[in-house]
Parts: sequence; structure tokens; C-alpha cells
Amino acid sequence: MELVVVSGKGGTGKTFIASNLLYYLNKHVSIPSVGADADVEAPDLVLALSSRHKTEKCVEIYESRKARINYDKCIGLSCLECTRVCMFKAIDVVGDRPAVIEENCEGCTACSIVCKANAITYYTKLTGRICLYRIDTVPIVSGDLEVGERNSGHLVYKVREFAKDVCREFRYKHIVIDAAAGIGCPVISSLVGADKAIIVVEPTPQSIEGALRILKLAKLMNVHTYVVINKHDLNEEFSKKISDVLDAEILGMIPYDYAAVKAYANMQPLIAYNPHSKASKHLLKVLEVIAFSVMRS
Amino acid sequence: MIIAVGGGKGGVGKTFIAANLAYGLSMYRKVLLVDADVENPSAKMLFKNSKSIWKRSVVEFRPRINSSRCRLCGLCVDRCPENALAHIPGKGIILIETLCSGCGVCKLVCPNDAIESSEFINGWIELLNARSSLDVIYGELICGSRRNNVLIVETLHEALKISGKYDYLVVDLPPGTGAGIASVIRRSDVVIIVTEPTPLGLSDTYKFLKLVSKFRVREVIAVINKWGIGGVEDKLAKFFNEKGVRFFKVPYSREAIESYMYSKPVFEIAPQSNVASSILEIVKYFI
Repeated sequence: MELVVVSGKGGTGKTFIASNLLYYLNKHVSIPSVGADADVEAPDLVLALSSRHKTEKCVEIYESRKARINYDKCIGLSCLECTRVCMFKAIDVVGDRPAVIEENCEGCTACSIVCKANAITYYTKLTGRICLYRIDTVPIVSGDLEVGERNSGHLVYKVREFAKDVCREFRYKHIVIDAAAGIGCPVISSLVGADKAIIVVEPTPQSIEGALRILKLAKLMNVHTYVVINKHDLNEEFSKKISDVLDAEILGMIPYDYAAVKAYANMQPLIAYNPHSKASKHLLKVLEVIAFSVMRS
Repeated sequence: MIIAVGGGKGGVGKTFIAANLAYGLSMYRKVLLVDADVENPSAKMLFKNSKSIWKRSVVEFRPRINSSRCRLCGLCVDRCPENALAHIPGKGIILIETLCSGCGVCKLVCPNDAIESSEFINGWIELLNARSSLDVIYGELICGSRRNNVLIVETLHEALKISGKYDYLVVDLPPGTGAGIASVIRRSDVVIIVTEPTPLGLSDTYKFLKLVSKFRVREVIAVINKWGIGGVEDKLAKFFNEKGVRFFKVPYSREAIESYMYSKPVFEIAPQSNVASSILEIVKYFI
């Protein structure tokens, strides 16, 4: 099955849960599982698992099409049809001629259709890379979007396909997807067709608001969703409120613990770095529920 | 002056720094805080008594096929860059709404004028007055839309239209290094990288700085937030020193957590704290 770890707001602990869950599944209970880092604009899953990893395979994805203006042909200010037709504010007038704002361009070809001088061509550029890493025996498929690129949703789709291939080839059972923050394109691509989702929420107003947004999205996409409350003791009052406002089953709560920060600094999952810490004990209970209840049903 | 506040990683404190910096600057000058984190706009939560000045929806083009004019030539299907149009025998041309980017190519290529304009609401933009010399503008993506990058550009565009009224625009960016963020950085005078002293913060800082280096911004500065928490403080400081990036430290403290937890500006909740004075230092740097 594919389980996605999400949160509307960043920094609530998605990678924390995903990395510990992967370690737990593979090392504690021998349920071979693949990790998929779908936070392609800031991929961190590998770093949260280990400072040592082996790169097994990388592929480059060239799917971003961008417009290029041939200024020998462009008739400049007397025309500017391209700037009028572009829906994405991707062609600006700079000085006395139109210029493509590369990051806004979606390569749709509207500008070249209306160009009277036949001055617009297209080129393809690197969208991003997908690599298969192995940490100990745990395979992690990680997407890395080129800086300033769009098409993050498409790259996420490819990351998931890659992870499914690894699953089939090496007979792994599950895929744990570490999604990006937010509710936009890459998150939608992480959720679409997935089996279950877990929202990681902290007891802060911003995080709860973000959790409400992502829960709404998950319901819209028919993905059954559970909630884990991270750092619940930062504000008990808010933590209690979470079950009232979030219409989803709460799997458990993990207290704030400096050991979690130390584990990050040492680039190890908390349950490996300090299995007897306060947070580990609660985390292990949550992971057990995920492995034997959420991932079984 | 346009100051963009970003950083690859989520939860490092971009909104915390941007909102408090905007508040601090507004004690001296006129400021517009631009919340470009359209997937999770939360900067406005720090200003609970804000009054709405205007709010409008942001719409995108969507094609509507006029079947009486359509001759099923299939040109729109062939030319759609997103494969969002399909010819279903017996049903004609249909639109797969979730794939459509609203580029309008179908309308341009249709020889029979059979494609009419329809609208898709991608989200909202609202302008608020937060305090005497601080306004807040934010974009909010509608749930289910994939068009977050476009809404970031629209939000910035609306902010730029009224930018003449302000001395500073402080843009709170979403986490990441994608296209919408790139578009804001292109228009910015100063970029502030917010990071935290953890290996993950460090890694995301590398990537964010790589993005920033694609553009000619006047100055890049860094804020190492939660100083004292993560163990790679020295490594981060060394990295910024080597890159010639001036950096400010904001200590990890109870006041910072409380400001965040109760969504109140540090200058209101703990004006005498170390956190408030460390942010004031950044404010003074700009004034």
C-alpha cells in the first residue's frame, strides 16, 4: 500500500514521522517498505535517516518546455502580441522588446501561435532528478526539482512510479511517501490514488488551520486520513481542541523532547538514536498502530 | 524596497521572521506584508484585529466547447499542452478540468470559433489593514487547485500595483524552491534566507541559495532562527561567512515559542525579550 505523510503547514514533523516509520517497518518489525521523498523542492528524507547512504541509480527528467524569442526575427514594440496572449505573465516588456520570464513560462505555445514574425521557438530543460538511495537495506526514492522549476506535480508522479517499480522488483510491501507542505500541486500528486494519509499536526493555531486544509483536500480526493499530534505538550489546551476540530481518527500523541532535535542533528531516526527517550516511547506506540492497524486495514 | 523572506525548509520560521520584521519596520515606516504562502497563508493570524480593505477572487480561463459550432476537427485536442481535452466518440470534445492550465491555446487554434471563455476560481486575494502603518495582502489557494505557482505570481502582482504607497514590501514566501518563489525573488531587492541550525536546515539552505544565485538581487542576508537548538550552528555560520552572506541570529527561547503559539507579534507579547531585540537588530539594519 501507499501511505502518505502530509501537513498543511511546514515543519510540523512529516519527515520525522516518515523517517521513523520507515526505520520501524524495516528494522523493528521486518515489514520491508520503500520510502518516497515527494517534497521535491526541499528533499530531506535521506538526511533524516542517515549521514551515510549509497546512491544506486539516478535518472534525469527533461520535461520542462520553455519559450525562446529569436530577436533577429522579433519585430518588437510594434507587435507584442505574445505579451497579450500569455496567461501566465511569462512575457514582459524589457526595454524595447518582449522577454520571457523563464520561471513563469509553461511552454504552452500560445505565444508562438500569435507571433507574426515566427520568432518564438521552444527548448526543453531539466525538470529534476530522481535517485534511488539505499540506507543500510532501506531503499529511498527521492525527487529533486531543479530550482525555479514548475512541474513539481509531474515529478512527484514519477517518484511514485519509480518507488512502485522498486517495490515490485525487490518484493517490498509498502511505500511511505513523505509529502511537501501545503495543499498545492505536488501534494495533490502525492495524494491522488494513495491508500491512506497521515496528517502530522502540532498544537498551534497555524498548524491546526493547515491540518484543516489538508484534511479537506484528502476528503475531496477520497483518501482515508488519520492524525498524529506532534509535540502535544507544547500546548495541552490546543491539543485537546484538535480532536474537536479535526474530523479524523487520532492515532496518538508525541511529546516535545529535545532528544528528537538531537536525533536530527545526528542524522538518525529518533527510535534508533535514542530508543528510551520520552518521545521514542510514545512514538513507538504510534508507529505500532500505523504498522498493524492503519497499514493492515 | 522589496524584501523576500524565504528558505527551503518548512517550519524554520519564515512567517515568524517576516511578520515580526514587517511589524518592526512599521514602527518607523509604511509597510506592506505580502503573504505569498498561498497554500497556507498564516501571516495574517498575527494581526487579529485587522480590517479588510478589499477581497477578490482570482480566476483563470477555462474553455467551454460550443457544440453547435464545433466540427470535431480535433485541432484543440492535438494542440492542448496538458492533454486536458479529449475527443470521445458520440460525446464530442470534453475537458478534463483537473489537467487544464488555462493557457488558452485551444481557443487560439480553433478554426470554427467554437471555444468560449469560462472561468475557474483559483483562490482569493485580500488586502487588510493591520495597524496604522502596516497593511497585509495575502493570496489563498482554493482547496483542490494545482495552480499554486500562478497564484503566487498574481498575489505579488497585486502587491506591486499598490507598492507606491509603502516604503517596504516584506514578502513571506512558502517553503520550497519552485517557480512561484523564483518569480518573487526575481522582483526582490533583498532576499532573507531563514534557516535553522539542523542538518536539514543546512541542506535546504544550499538549495535555496542556489535558486537565489540565479537572479541579480541586491543583497542576500540570512537569519539563523532557533539559534542554540540544533548542533550545526557553527557549520551554518561558517558557510554563510564563506559565501559572504551577512547573518543574524535569533535565539531559541520561550518568548519566541509563545509568540508563535499565541500568534502575537513579539513586539507586543515580549518587547523586552532577547528575541524582540534580535529582530529589532534586523529592522535597524534596513532603516
